[in-house]
This record gives sequence, structure tokens and C-alpha cells, in this order.
Amino acid sequence: MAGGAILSHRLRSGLTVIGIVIGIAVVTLVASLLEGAQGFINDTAAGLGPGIVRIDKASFQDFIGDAQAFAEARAKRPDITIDEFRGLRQRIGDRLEVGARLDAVLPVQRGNRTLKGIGIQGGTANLAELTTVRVERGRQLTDFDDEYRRQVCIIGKDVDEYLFPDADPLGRKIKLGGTEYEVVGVAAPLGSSIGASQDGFVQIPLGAFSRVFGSRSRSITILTRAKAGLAVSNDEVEELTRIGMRLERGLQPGNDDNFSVVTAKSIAAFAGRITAVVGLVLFPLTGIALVVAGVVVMNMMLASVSERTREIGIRLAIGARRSDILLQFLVESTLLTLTGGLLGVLIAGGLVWLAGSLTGYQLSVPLWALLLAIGVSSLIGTIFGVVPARRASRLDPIEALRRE
Amino acid sequence: MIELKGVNRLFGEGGAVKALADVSLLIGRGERVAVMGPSGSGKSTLLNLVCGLDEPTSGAILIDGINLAELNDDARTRLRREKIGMIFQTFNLLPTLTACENVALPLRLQGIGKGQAERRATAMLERVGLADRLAHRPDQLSGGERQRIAIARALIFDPPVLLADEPTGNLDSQTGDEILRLLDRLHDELNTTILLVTHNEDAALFCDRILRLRDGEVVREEHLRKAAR
Repeated sequence: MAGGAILSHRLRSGLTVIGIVIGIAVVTLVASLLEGAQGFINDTAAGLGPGIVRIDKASFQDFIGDAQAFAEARAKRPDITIDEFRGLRQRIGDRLEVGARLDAVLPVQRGNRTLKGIGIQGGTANLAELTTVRVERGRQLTDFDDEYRRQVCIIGKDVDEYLFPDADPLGRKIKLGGTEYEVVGVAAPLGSSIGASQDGFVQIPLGAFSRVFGSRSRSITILTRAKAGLAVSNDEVEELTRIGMRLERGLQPGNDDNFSVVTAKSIAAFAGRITAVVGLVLFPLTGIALVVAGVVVMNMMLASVSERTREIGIRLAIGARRSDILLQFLVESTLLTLTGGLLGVLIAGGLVWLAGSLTGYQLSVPLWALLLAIGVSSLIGTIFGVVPARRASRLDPIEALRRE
Repeated sequence: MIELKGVNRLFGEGGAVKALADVSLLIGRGERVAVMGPSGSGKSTLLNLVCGLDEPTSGAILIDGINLAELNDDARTRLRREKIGMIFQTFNLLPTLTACENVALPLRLQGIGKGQAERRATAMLERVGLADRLAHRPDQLSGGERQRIAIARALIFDPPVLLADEPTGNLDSQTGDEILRLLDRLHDELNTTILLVTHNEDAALFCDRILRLRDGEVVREEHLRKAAR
């Protein structure tokens, strides 16, 4: 019966629930995007590898909500130098594996085939133990390669497939900038993170990288982890690295770190803080929007009670209890907002799908957001339906029957 | 079946308006009683009191031996659901429901399932000659057809009492006669007690007895012989 009343006033019902539709769509959309962002950050954390500590000049995760401080830190903090890396390795190298990496983006060429925007990683020989990159064919880079600045490289799967579609890359040469490098290894596929391939890279020895790109004007990234076979906890690795770096820079107790320490744990915490900040700002706003939408629904239901006074009188006259009338109007308002909520979820689902298709990111509406949308929209209908439903159930049937 | 003992109904501040004054009445099972009188004489008030939609200022109303004053709102609703059918001058059908759904409504309110309620409604609509109008909505039907549906709705649960408020008031004389003949036939089949409020002398002749009200009082009571009808 309640559904019939809604269907008989389709246009009015539709206009009434627009607020609910938009509110629920926004909440669901944001929840889905947050979930996607969380997934991306978790993927990033996983890419760092378990138990690995990274030292950067300045990491954005230390400066949530303060872009200016982040920019200042990047400008003012001293670059992390190869000398500092060597000093740190001297200090903590007996317990921790300490490696370094420098990054650049360059086109990679073989014959007339060119791949643009490829990440060039100059790394120490132990990078294999400090990243998730594993050599599938060929060999790793060695200290010998690094020390003698040999022009050798390891390539990712995308580079392999594009530059060597029909040939074995091992022993063949590719060009980075103007310099030729011999391929000595092909990395195992890393897959993709939120739709973006992780396999478009070339690793070369740090020494060779410094010779080509220079290292004075660049800040390097230092990576550490416990040496194989030694019982050092992740927290200890982080602490040893931090203290070692502070000593290397001569920082006094009480002075803040002038570098950033990044771990899988800190990335996950960062993701949690971002989600919390967005949630804190957005969900109250949406809550207010939904309350306003609820008031609109209440207003419409009051108008409906007024319009259907005679119907209510008829029902009461032929045997409906007041509780039946109350329930009928409550069900009606709940059904109305629930329909709006489901419509909102559908719209959000469509937009999420569209965003996923356009960006290649793996986005979806999380189950909890769907259940929350259904719950919240139903609750709004029930809460804001109480006043109209009570008014309807308290009508005097004789007066109601007289109404034209 | 219906008994009123010294019923008074006053309205307004301090009971300034006397709608019914010391009305006592006994209507037996299967009896048909017409209530006539000018506007404002208390006819509709009497109907509202008998069906339990209104309460008397003093006096007692008994339906099938049950004193309405002893029932709370819900219990009075239950009594109305089970024992009293009502038809109105303006039909009072729900515009969004089909003929079948309108007739099934009292059964649905009693908690009977949709399928069974609509099967019984279909059978009832056949009895009032509207088997081909099941899926029509009220605005697709003539006045006479709407009143037939209202009668079917009132009698769907075999109530011992039928209250009719000007059932022919909105119909032309030919259709009004058809409705009265239908009520007559259904009365013979179901032995329903009928209390009929009307302005129409011809409609009153359909009854066994006529009560004439004026200013809330029964001023005359006429017993009709069967032959007169």
C-alpha cells in the first residue's frame, strides 16, 4: 500500500528524494575513492617491502595538510649525499644492509624503438635486497659494476617487451640518453598498482648513474634493512637508521630530524590519517546535507498527510487502527528515502566505475559503504517520517471524512 | 442488535449544541431502519455514534450486546472491522486502488493475506454484478458502479450491521433504485441489520421502520408493512 502511494506520485516522490540521492551518492563516492586511495597507499607501502626503512630528504607523509612546510623542507633541508650514505654504511653496516638509490626519468632507446618516461634507478649492488625488484633472467648488479661504473643494466618487463619483442635482451645494448648500457638481467614482473604498471624501469649501477647525471645536485634515497640471519626487529632497524643518520649529520639532542624516515608502517599510518582528515571534514558536511534532505522528506510527507486526509478517514472508518496508519506512513517515508539511497549508491557506483575505467585504477564501492548508505537512508526516512505519521494517525476520522 | 439507551451528544463550549437528545432505540437482527430528518437533525451524528467513530456525551450504545463505552479506541476499531460495514453518499473509495483492492481492503486490515482477500473480493464483486470491473480504478467507473463497489466493500466480511449514509444521494433516481434493489437482495441473502440515513422518502420505503429526527430528538416512528415497500 505504501509503495503504491509513492508510485502514484512519481514526480513528487522523485523530487523529494533528490537531496537523499545526492547526499548518499556523495558519501558513497567519497568512501569508494578513499578506499581506492587507501589501496594505492597500501600498495606503495607493500612496494617498499617489509622491514625496509627509507631515508628521504623530505617525505610528504610528514607534512599532512601543510603543503608550504613540505615545499620549504624540500628547498631548505640539506640533500642526502653519497658521502652521507657511505658514512652511514660505515656506522651501521655491521648489522644493517644499507643501500642507496637515485632516480631520473629518461627515454630508453634500442634501434628505432624508443620508450619515453622510463624511470631510471641508479642503485648500489645490494638494491636487490632492499627493494621488491627480483631478477628473473640474467644476473644482479654487483659491487664490481658499481665500483667501476660499468655500463650495465637490469630492465623491467615493459622495457623488455617493447624493446626486445623478438630477441633475448641479455647481452644486448640499450641507450639511456646518449650512453649505451648492456642488459645483464631482466626483472620479474611487479604487476600494477592501481592500474599503473610498475614494470617500466631500468636499473643501473649508482656509480654509472652519478657519472652520467651527476650526484652533487641530487638528493639520494638511502634504504636499510636487517642483515640476513641477524635478529633485528623492524623498530630497531628504524631506530638504528635514524640515530645513524642524526650522528652522520651531527644533530644535537633536541634538534629535529632534517630528513624523513619512511617505513611501511609509517605509510599505512599516513593513509589512516588522510582518511581520518577527509572523513572529519566531509562526513559532517554530508550529514548536514542529509538532515536537510530529511526535513524536505518530512515536509513532503506532511503535505501528503494533508492531501490524503480523506483517505486516512476512510481507512480509519473501515477498520484501520491508528497504529496501522502510523505504520503505513512510516513505511512510506522509509521506502521513499531507501529508494533515494539505493539510487544514490547506483549513481555513485556508475561514477566509480567510470573513474576506474578512465584512470585504470581498481576502484569499487566497498560493501560497508553500500550497507551504510542503505542504513542511513532508511534511518532518515524513519526518523523524519515520525512527525507526519503521528499526525496522520491522530486525525479525527469524522473530520477527515468530511474533507473534500 | 443495535441498542441506544438515553444517548445524548452535545457539541460546543459547555454543550451549547445538542446534536442528539435522549435517544433510545432498539433495532433487531435483520431489521432495516431508515433515519430521516432535515439537515442538522442529528442523523449523521447517530451513525457516527453507532459505528464507534464518535462517543456519546451520556447514555449507552450496545452493538450485539457489547457496550461501546467499555471499549478503548483499538477495541472499537476491531468491533467496527468485524461487525459493522459502512457505505457513504460519496462512496469513499480509495482512488489509487482498483475495484478489487478497494473491496479487499477491510480483509487486508483484518490481517488476511493478499491472495485470499482478493479471491473473496472477486467473488463479492461478482455478487454485485461487477465481475468485469475488477481492475478498474474508481475514476474509471460510473457513480452507480462505485456505490456497488462500496457496498461490496462494506459486506465483504459478512458484518451483522450495515450503516448507510445517504447511499443514493449522489445517484440519479434509476441508479438509486438499482442500488436499493441490490441492498434488498443482499439483505435477504445475508440477513444484515441495516441503519439507513436518507433524505429520500422512496429510499426510506425500502426499510421496515422509519425514525424521524428533529433537533436531535426522535419525533416520530413509523412501521411499514411489507406490502408498502
